[in-house]
Amino acid sequence: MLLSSIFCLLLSNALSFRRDTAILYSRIGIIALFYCIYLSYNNLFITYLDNGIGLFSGLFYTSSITQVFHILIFIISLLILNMTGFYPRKLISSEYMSFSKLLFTKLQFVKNLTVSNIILKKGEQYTILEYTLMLFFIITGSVLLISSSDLVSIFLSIELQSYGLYLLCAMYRNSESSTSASLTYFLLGGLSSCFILLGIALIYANLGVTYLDSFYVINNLAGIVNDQEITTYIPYCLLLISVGFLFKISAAPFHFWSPDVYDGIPTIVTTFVAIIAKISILTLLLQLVHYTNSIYITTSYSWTTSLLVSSLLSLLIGTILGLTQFRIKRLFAYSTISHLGFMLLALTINSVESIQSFIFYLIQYSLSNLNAFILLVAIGYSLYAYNDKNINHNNLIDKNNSPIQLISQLKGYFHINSMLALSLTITLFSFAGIPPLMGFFAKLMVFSAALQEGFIFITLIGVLTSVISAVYYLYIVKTMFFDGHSYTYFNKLKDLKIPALILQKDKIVNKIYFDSKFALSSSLSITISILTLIILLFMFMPNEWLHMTNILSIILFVPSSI
Amino acid sequence: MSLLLLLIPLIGVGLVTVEANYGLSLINNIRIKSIALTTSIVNLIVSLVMFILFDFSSKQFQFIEEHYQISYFDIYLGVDGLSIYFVLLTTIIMPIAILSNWNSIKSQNVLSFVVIMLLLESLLLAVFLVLDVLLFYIFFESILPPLFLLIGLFGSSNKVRASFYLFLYTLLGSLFMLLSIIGMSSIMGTTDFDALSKANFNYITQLFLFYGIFIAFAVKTPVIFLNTWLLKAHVESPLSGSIILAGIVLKLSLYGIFRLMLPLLPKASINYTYVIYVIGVITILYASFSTLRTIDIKELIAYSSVSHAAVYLIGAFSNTIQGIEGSIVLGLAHGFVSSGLFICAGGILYDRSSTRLITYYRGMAQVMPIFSVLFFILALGNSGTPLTLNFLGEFMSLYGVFERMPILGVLASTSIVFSAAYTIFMYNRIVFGGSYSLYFVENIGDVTRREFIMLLVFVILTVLFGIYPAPILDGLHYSVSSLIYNVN
Repeated sequence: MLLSSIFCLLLSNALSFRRDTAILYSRIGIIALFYCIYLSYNNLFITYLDNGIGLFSGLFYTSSITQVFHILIFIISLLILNMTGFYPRKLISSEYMSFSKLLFTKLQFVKNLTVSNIILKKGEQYTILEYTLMLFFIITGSVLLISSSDLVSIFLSIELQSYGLYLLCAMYRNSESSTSASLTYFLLGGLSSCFILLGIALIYANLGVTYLDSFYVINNLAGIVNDQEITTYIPYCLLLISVGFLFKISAAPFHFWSPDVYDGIPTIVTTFVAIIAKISILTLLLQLVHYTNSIYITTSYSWTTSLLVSSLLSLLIGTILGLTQFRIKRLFAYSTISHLGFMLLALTINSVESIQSFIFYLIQYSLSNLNAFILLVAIGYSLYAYNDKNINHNNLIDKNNSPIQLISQLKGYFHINSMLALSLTITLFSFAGIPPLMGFFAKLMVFSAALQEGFIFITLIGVLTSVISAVYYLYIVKTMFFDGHSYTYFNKLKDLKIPALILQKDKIVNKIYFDSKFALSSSLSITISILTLIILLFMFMPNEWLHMTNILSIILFVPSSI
Repeated sequence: MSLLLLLIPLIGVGLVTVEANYGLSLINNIRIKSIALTTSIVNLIVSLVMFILFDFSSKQFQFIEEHYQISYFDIYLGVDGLSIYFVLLTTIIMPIAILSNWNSIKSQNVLSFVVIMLLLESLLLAVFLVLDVLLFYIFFESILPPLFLLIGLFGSSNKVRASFYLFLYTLLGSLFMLLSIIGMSSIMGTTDFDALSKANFNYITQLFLFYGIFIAFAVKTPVIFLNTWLLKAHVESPLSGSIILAGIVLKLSLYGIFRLMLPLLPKASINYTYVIYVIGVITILYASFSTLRTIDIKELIAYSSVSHAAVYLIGAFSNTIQGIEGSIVLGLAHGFVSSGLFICAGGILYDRSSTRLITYYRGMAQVMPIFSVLFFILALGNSGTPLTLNFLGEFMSLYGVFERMPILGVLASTSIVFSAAYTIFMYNRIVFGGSYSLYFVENIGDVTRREFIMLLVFVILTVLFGIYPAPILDGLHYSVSSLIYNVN
């Protein structure tokens, strides 16, 4: 389905000349993703899914875990497409709002050039035709990556995903910063791919296999017969591969590119780059860690120790460097790094409980991170109608594509739009792990798993860093709530009446005037409110989530029992 | 009925938001505030009904409500002889806290103020009502965001720093408690109070759990070196914030001690009593001396709260019935009296003169006679004079402390002398001390009806229970006696 929709889009892209059809493509993309979700959901009911089913002569496989994460990726990209699929703002008029009028009449705006600059102002995302197509390539890459079971297919799909991401970053041709960010991303990403390739090559050179299952078998057998050559050799190969992966998910010692890239590219793209790549690679790592970290290996060195080190460093670096940031997307980058520390910790412990906490953490963090970025975009839209008195804010580079760049731009936002500010606050508190929000339960599960397996030191570090990271989340909240704002409503818009005609069967029935009260469009506000409510009220309906993660982690450990 | 207590404020939030949709005009603001006040008074009535129906001859949890279908972390509510008093304290103080900032909130902020207050009431009641350790932690922590916003939005000049201090100190402390709670639940496989209290952890485990929990409560109480947040938060927060902080939030640690430490970790508590006593006595002495040299009225009351909090902290660990009952009584009394004093200082005086420094006040008795009388009774309460509830609490706690460790008990008893000294010092400078202060160009009026009612409630409660404490003590006997641990 995904592939066919890519081809369709490719074809139509080539044929189309009109620029405004980008929105249409986004909507088509949304429909395609709905269908993908349906397909993956249906696949969950295949009987032998627990044991995993090989596809394409073993290049890929599918199991319950891969299917669940497929669905997660589809849902998230659907929500991201939602941002470009609809116009961001709408006008409200009580005269036109009744049901019968909405259904049976048609509204037509009278053109008015003086104000259309402000009202129709939009970022470049609505004019880029290839956006949806690129997104689909990336989604395909990550979906394939999740279900790869061969070293070659891992490399191919990770490259498909990464190249899509590089291109997506560079897609805004007029924006200098996003091009440079994309170049950074490309160079460093290429370097990390080299590491992955080197690791794969070393494994193939020594063991002669690329198929993951045989690799696992050799690994475990070598552990049983205590073949020193292989048991010392394999961890180093895996270490090289994991360096590449850690590069791609920007975990700590290899995190340098991520704040720059996040900050440089437009916010809508950042949303995508920040979330999708992490889900797919972390899911792959889950399988890799689980099957190679088995108890049969008796060497002194296990490669997962390096993941633990990376987790520790991520926790420290993400929190401490985040304290000095004043650009909001860099701050989010650092917060992501510190959350990756928690996820890697849960990944490395590798017990039933910790895998459960890992899956839950990944899902909840993706959702709340998505919410945070959508909120940033929405706040940017809502500020279009305001004039900023602060000159520093008006001279920002690339302001059209990412309107909110500095934390100080959010000053006093609570007094402009309290609901958006509250939603962002809830999301940030959830990042900080304040109960009863969703982030707290994820942290609770990670801590509990870590304590149970005796990782006391790193748990204490986790506790300390989550207090320190609370400082910068609180700083954003403080900026939004406690300071006065420097925004004034555009004078032109103040007493503007926007005329519109109500047509019934092509006859003018009525002429109404909208006063210039802009609201966010329903697609954005519904997305934001649903995500925020999930975060806020998670405590009252955790059953489904927890059972799902629990079953998934049990399936990983005892595949045939269920 | 316990669920009702939690739901009523939330319903109030809903009503208020609906009301606010019609715009924030002056009339609407008054309506919003009245709705909030009514909701909290209804809650007070419900809790009184609960108190009347409460069966004091049983030490079981009562009014139990379990909602397993709703949640994995089951909502499990109930009260016993200990928590009923804290619930009452909360429901009594909340209406007054809402009333205390009746006029001083700017009109566009009324909605957020009211919503924060009602949310806080719900969450605070939830802390006292839940019968599950994890839920206790969840609600214990979840009061932080509303308090943070309350202080930050409505506080005075240094509000940002105060709100950050409050949030970060408490978060750091309570995350250690979280680790202890995780430890408990992974050992026992349950987080239920009742089931946990039947557990017998081995001694080493108890010690580690004890450290974690004690760090959290030491921050919340607060003890010496951890009291920075309290001073900042009390001084900078709006009046209602100060009242809630002093009246209820500081009591969370006391309640937590009775729920988590004494019944679950008895050996560790007994063996570490001397550490807590030393910390407590140092806190008392330090706080008392600091109070003596403070000239900011609100800070003075906050410091005296630190010293009184240390008294009920050590009373709670005395392992005698008198000590434990005394600490609860002192906790309640301190909730009434310090809230009353905050209204006097931060509300009545500050609203009229916009300064909190004692230096500028003099001879207030000449212009504000009624205020002076009410203030005097509350000041007497703060210094622990007989016939007030504070005297009773302080006497009983110190008695318990003395019985347990005489020398430290004697040192702790200095708190009475010191509290008399600094309270009388403050009262004397403000109300008497010569003719009406030269700094005041205009005359200032006596208490209004709203302020009079607020103060009168506290005065009556303090004096009434000071003379006839049986309603509190009788209810406590049975529950408290089950907390005593027999060393042999």
